[in-house]
Amino acid sequence: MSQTRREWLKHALHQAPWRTQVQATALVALGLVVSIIIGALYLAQATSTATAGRDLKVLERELDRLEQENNRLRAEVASSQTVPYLTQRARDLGFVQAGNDQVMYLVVNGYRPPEPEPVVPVAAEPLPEYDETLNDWLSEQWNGFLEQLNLRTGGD
Amino acid sequence: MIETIDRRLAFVSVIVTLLSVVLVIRLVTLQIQLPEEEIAFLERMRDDSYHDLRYETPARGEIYDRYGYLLATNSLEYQVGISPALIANPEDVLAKLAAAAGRDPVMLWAQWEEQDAAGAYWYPLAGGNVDLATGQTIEDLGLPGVELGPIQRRFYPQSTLAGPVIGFVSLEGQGYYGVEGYYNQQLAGRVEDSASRESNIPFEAAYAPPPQPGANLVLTIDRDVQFLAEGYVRLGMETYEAENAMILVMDPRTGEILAMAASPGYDPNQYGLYPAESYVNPIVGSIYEPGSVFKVLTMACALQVGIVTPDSMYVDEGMIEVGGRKIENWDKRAYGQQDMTQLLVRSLNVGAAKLSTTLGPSRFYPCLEDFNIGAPTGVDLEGEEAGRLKKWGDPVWSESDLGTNAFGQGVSVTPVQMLTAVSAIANQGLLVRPHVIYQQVGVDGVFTAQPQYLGRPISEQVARQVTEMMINVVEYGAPKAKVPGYTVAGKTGTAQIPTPGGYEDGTSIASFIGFLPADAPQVIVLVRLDRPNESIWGTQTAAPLFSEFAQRLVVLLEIPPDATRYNLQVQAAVQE
Repeated sequence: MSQTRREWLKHALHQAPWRTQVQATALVALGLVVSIIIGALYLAQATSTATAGRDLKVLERELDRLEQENNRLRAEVASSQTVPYLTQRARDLGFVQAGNDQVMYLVVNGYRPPEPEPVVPVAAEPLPEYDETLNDWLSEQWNGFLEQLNLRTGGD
Repeated sequence: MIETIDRRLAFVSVIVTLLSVVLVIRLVTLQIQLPEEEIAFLERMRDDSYHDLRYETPARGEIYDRYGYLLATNSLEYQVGISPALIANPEDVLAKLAAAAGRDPVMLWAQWEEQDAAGAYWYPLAGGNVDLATGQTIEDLGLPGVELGPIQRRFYPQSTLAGPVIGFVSLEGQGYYGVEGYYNQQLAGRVEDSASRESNIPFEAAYAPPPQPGANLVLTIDRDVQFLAEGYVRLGMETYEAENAMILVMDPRTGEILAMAASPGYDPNQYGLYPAESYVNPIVGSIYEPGSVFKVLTMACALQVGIVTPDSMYVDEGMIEVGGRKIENWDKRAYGQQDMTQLLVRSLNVGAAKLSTTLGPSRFYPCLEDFNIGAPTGVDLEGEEAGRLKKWGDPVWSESDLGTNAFGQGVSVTPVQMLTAVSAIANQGLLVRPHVIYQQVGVDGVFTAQPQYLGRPISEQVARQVTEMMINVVEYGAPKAKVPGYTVAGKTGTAQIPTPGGYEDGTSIASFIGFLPADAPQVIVLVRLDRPNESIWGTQTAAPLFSEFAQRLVVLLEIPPDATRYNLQVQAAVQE
């Protein structure tokens, strides 16, 4: 049966040699299309990464600027809260220094005298490190794909 | 003709082939046989071509007072640079720059002409750097040939307040002196993680490991008390015509330093304008002979060892000879029968020397060491001195030292050391380590400083006895130190100033150490005046300055007068 089939195929090819050329062309075209798709995907991914990188830089710059501005404003607030400044403001408003004999102490049930509190902002915890390259990402995707494939085909 | 061309072609072909072979051989050797350091060099060249090294300096931690007032922070300045070659229309550019930077246009134009004539390709804007807001305004103008270079700076919003306590940071980011120097590592953050490679070819998202910021520090310093103390330092210098003055305020129960004021001080924002000597905090970094204040330690040692009780009597003959040296009382008088309290109230050198000689060096000096005399206290400030206590057995020690040390002569201490030693008396005999850090707030968490005990030089009972004597000193010996409404325990000191050839004539270091309320001390204060002209005596200068200062201090610290405090305690007990 298979012998007959092979002979039929030889005969058919002998009669229509263009079929071989079409097959070769189709294979080349297929390869080209696959390459184009991979290239396009790579380009899209690279573009998206580059854009994200640029956006990240812009955001980082903005963050730096805002942090600097924040620092400046806090320093300005601190400068406006210096004791000489506040003393002068209080005098301007008509306040006078309280003498020891002018202070009245009262017992208030449940009142606890003020204790120093950690009122300063806690320094921000560093962001988690991000060091994944495009190659790493592609490898990860590929490994994930292989794992899924193994699951479907029952591989281990 | 054709043969000639063929020959020439063959020759050229051979040459080209040979060159190609050489090139291939070289390429192969480069790939295979290259030394490792050359490989590393070439890899570095490759990486440098495609990557930039990006440095990120971690934000230096901020410093706050105990109630959260900012004492030190970071700021950004800009250096404005001008490149004449890149400016086509200097009149317009300089006019806009002058308006944005708030500089005189005439001055900028004069600078331009001078630099342009000299052929400068770049020069910094006259009048120094500009602040962040001005820099951003200039940047927004987009002026050609005008560049902005960011410069990180440390900023101290309270200016001179607590300058020597805080220290300063150099342009290179290194902390010096005070807290900035002592805690430089904690404040600076993690610098080693701050360099990262950033790809020039944008196929990878830029990765920059975030540097770990420095920890914020909360000091035990109370800004208001510090301001008050610095004001009274100035007042004391003016009133008593003293060369220098200092006031140190501490909580004897915990060792927390509330204020540390000393002249002349400096503004850490402009540390370069001050002589280097002024950077050292004299309260921790300079030693002096304490004088009669030291007698309370001698008395405490005598009571602790048990050679006397508060009621013990001795005959004061006005003079005693120890190791061949005559020791006299400050007024050269003989006081006859005296008890231990009178010894302190009248500040009798002869009595103190009798105590130390009765103790003997084998008991006297170990007791002083228990008070941490002769050793650094371990206060968390840069530049602490240990003081000097010549001990029995030292080659430089002589028997006369045993007599003079008893009243604070021939022994050197720092002000913080002296205050710490006396604070043991206020703290029921427990000696605490002085410190200026209340909290460290960083990415690792919040750490609150706990009191550290250096030891127990005297018992609780002896501490009470000496306190009682010191109350009498203020009541009868130094009444100018009294604070209306409060019981104060204290002791004055009038110390001669040693010179290489002996002691200065007619000058002194006048001091007073006192704590209140005497029965439940909340605060202990050292006041010191160097070479006061008004009077050399501590009773006439340091004691009244202490009184004036303490009257304001109790208001700030909300310490009620004794009578009010007792009433409040009774009321609170009834309500409970």
